[in-house]
Amino acid sequence: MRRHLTPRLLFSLLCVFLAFLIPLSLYIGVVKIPLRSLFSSEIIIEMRAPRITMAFLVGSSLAVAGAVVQGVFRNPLAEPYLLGISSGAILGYSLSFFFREELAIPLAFLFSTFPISLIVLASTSKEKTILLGISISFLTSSMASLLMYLSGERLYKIFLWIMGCFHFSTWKQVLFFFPVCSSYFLLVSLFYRELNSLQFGDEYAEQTGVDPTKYRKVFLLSSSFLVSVSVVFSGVIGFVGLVVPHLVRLLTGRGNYKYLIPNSILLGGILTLLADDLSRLVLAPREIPVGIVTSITGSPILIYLLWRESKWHF
Amino acid sequence: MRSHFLLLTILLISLISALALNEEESNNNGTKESLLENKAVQFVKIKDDLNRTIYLRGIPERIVSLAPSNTEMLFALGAGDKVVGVTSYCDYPPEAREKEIVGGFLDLNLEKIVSLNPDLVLAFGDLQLEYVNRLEELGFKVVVFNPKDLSGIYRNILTLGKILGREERAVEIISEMKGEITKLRKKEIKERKVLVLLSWEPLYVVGKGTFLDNLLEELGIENLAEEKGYYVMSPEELISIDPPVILFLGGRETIESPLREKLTAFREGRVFYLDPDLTTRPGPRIVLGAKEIAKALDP
Repeated sequence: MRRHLTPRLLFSLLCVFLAFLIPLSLYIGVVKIPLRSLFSSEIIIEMRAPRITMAFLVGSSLAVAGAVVQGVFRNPLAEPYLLGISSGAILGYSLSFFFREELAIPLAFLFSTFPISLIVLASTSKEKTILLGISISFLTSSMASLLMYLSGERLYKIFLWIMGCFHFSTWKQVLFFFPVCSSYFLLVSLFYRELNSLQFGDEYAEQTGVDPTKYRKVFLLSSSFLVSVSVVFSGVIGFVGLVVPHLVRLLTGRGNYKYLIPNSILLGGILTLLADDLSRLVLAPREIPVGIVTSITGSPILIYLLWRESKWHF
Repeated sequence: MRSHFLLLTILLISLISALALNEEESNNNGTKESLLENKAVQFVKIKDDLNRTIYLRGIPERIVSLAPSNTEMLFALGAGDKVVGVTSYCDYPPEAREKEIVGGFLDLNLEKIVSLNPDLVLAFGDLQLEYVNRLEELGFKVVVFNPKDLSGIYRNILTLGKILGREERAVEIISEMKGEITKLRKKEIKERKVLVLLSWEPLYVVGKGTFLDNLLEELGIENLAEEKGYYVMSPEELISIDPPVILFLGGRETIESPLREKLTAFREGRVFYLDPDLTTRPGPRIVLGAKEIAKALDP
């Protein structure tokens, strides 16, 4: 017996859940804010609201980018950081400590987008893209490790940044990130047919009149750009990009991008927001880096769904 | 197409609400500024260790300290009752433990700091820069201390004295400290060559140009670590240097290092475990740390 939700039902359920989650996330925190001043308190407006907005947007970006990258590479293990976006960003970030610290963010962005763009533009096939990406990723991550080893007392700071946090989210970041991620969502939503074709292989895509090389480049470049921006703002948040698309596929039993994209936006955002809430609550007043929480909470969900799936299918 | 439409609506709504909230923020700031300007208060002009000139309105009454050394300075200047928030590492004087904790050293909780509504945040070093920037964006006064040597500590105490309107007390503390250091330097210390270790595995040593290196220099003691900053030394190098005295600042670590038999300092019982709180905090108690070092070298 199959127990799947229809994509529309899942979407509505997630919307309802989000409607409850937003006020809850605004409310919880180390400082207790009385309910009546929930919308006038500086802590809420200046700190929690931008924070939960960024958590949601970054989470949904990673989830959609993950879904896209998995389809483009036809590989269920693909994730947004596959081609070395994160290790490039870490390299740039660590490098800044040896020049000027103010350059941390620009350098992180440069080192995460530049190699990827070259790889994607230069390589002619999917396999070459993956192999080049992984080689560059190994190169940059080992160079980053070297810099981290040499960075002495700053090691802890780099380490914290790598594990991701929404601690420093501001409205300025939201105003910058929102147009970037929503135009990406629009782009991939408009081209969901091309994504559907690509996930069935190049031959199939060509038969349906989709140029696989061209679209692969478009999808990979835009995803890499989006993920780089997210890394720069909130560090490396693992797991969401890899797992949320699978969760949506498992819950709905379908891989159609028409439904996969909107559901990934919601589920990715919700999962990351939940993880951020937990990261603020569990060890308060200390915060657990959100990247750790996403993995700790997300893995059991995936394992359960896989177990359920196998129980009913095999 | 319907899901696209739904998606767009949601995105639009969130954009509008984001803009609305942003509007509110600027309004808030406006009222705060004008309120402050209505009060006739004196300005204090100081320079912090990021080389920024900072104007402070009147004497701060609610201070959050983001480092143990800052907390110790505040209490030494008799301003302990004005401290409303400290880090979890601020354990001296004992009264400091009763204050609200705003986090560790690099994992501070911004909400907690903001909720204490401080009129001065006393940050430390260049590792807290993100917090400093964010707090200033939110309209808080932040002064950053980052002493690199003894004179840096003196300068910080004087600056803090100026901020608190207690310059005389600050000058007193500084001259006491200077007197103690001079006394220690003049002491007949037999062994004037040491290596300072922070951990055995790996061999993390205190190198040149660090705050502790400067302290040794002020005491007339030679630091045998050649390189700059804090770094990991290879066991071979340690054996070839074979320091007559090893000062260990990583707490009481009893490790059965295979290096033991090869080192003179171990054979002659001249490995000293010093209190890291006294020796590594660049605050007023550094004089006690200096005393510990001198005592270890002249038993």
